[in-house]
Amino acid sequence: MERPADPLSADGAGLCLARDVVHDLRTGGRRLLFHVPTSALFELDALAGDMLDLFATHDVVGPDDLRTHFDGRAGPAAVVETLSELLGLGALRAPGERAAVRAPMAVERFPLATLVLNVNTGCNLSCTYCYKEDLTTPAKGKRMTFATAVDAFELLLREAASRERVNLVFFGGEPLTNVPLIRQVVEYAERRALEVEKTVDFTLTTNGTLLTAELIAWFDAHRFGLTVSMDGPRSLHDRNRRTVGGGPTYDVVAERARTLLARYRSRPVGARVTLTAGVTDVVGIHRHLRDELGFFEVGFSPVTAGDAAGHNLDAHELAAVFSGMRRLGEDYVQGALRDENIGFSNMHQLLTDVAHGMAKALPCGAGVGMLAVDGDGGLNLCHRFTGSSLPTFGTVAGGIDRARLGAFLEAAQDRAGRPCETCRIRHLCAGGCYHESYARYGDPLAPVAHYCELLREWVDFGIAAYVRILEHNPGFFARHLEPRRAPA
Amino acid sequence: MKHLKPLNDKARAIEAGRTPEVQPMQTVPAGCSTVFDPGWEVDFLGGVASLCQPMEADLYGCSDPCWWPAQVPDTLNTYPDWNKGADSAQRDWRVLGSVFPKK
Repeated sequence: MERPADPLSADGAGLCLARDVVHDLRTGGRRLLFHVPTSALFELDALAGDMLDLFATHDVVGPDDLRTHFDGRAGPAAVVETLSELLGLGALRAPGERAAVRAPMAVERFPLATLVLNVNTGCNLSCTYCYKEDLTTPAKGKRMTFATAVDAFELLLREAASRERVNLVFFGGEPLTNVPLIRQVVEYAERRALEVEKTVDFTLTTNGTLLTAELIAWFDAHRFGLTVSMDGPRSLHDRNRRTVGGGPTYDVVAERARTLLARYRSRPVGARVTLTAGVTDVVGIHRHLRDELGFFEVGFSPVTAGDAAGHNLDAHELAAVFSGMRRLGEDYVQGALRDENIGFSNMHQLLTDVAHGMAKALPCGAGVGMLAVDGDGGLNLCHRFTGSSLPTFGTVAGGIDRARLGAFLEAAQDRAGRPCETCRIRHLCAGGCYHESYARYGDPLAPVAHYCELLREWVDFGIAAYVRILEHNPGFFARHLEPRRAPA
Repeated sequence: MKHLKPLNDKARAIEAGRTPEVQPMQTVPAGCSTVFDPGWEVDFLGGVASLCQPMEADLYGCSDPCWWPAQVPDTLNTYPDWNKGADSAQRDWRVLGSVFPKK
């Protein structure tokens, strides 16, 4: 094999900065290079920073430009060394050359780890912003039968043949409106998991209103991972989270949450907050849920795309939300420097991605490691899609429709012609939540264009935060990020 | 790496030469590249126009910072003027100087 002409030789065409590969950041007097295709993060020394500046301000840099620029500032050996390090990363390239694009991978195997069961489409609350298309009252709800749940779990065991752990999630509606089924399924799943030598974990998200001491003890005994949907202090929570009859729910939820948090031992309990019009005080909500009620961790989901247009955050409020996220993120960093985890899920996830250099081809595990089962046994991308008008991807009895699901996942990876193609966070965000896009644009693969810029700023904030923690308390990541990834 | 210091797991993996991403070549027209390449028998149009042929192209193209071991003196440190006045290898090869190690 012969190598082609060196672009920096006398008759070569020079080199230019690969602007879709390099994301150049400065933070706290340090110069960083975020390598977009791989999510690798490097710190540049003065010479490398100087070289990046030279390339950033010139369309093409030739050997004479390099000589003139670095003459008296750096030795030729160091210049060539720096140049080859940047070339090795694809940060520089010949003019006209394009960055290698990761071709969509054919997805033919679906190594499921998680199955979500929609045990009842009914809910005793009627939160104004609820995204569930099939939401109804508990009595009218579509309840999953035990036979469907058994088929679902058997499908999970078959598809997860190569895995040691599987995860069963109970969702609704409100899952606690169908506790008899949950108890039956847990008994069945634990017995079957033992037979096939797998571990099964259970997870459940609830509005908290139907929790009883007896139920809490039972969940604890079966090591359920519990999440309570709560939107903060009374004035904010009661704005949207109301009963079917329209009454407030804060008092009952707060009282049950306190009982739960006082008794629950098997796993940390998290709160999940929905941010909507008028509910944007991220710092205040976190303080109430974490410090006053005692949740281990608080996660925030901004609603930008619901049917109820009046509840969507407008551009102004969305900006307020992200600025609140950054303020709380700053508290997170201060906590990390004291070696404390203040329990802010979104920041925790972002730092995990940055620390590992996560380069995603798909935004989430929906359809690959996770599917959601609706009351009829239909397979959906995730819990948000059960009951939606998006066609299903097979059934628990008939199996996964591999051709259709594979085609969807391949299309999801293909960014050609989409704004994501050149976005600097394309391998961290990977197009964003399918359901947000589906609800807003009717297309699960449309980018979440209305907050792309805010997300990019949020990722930059995360990178700067990561570097600060790394500098002052590098052990934080091993002590606080890693344990969460390890099996419980 | 000396001038770029890896800060996260992926950067350390790249420094150690462990890069899980294998990228196909279809978007690399021609040129030295760090990506997986199947060989240089043909260029991306199926022709040979963009390849390193004829060999004259290799003389400079494969000698300076490029790794291919072309038979030229060390122009970077010891014999910087070896190819002075011979900008085009194809045209000027006769004026290239000869170099012998000094005892």
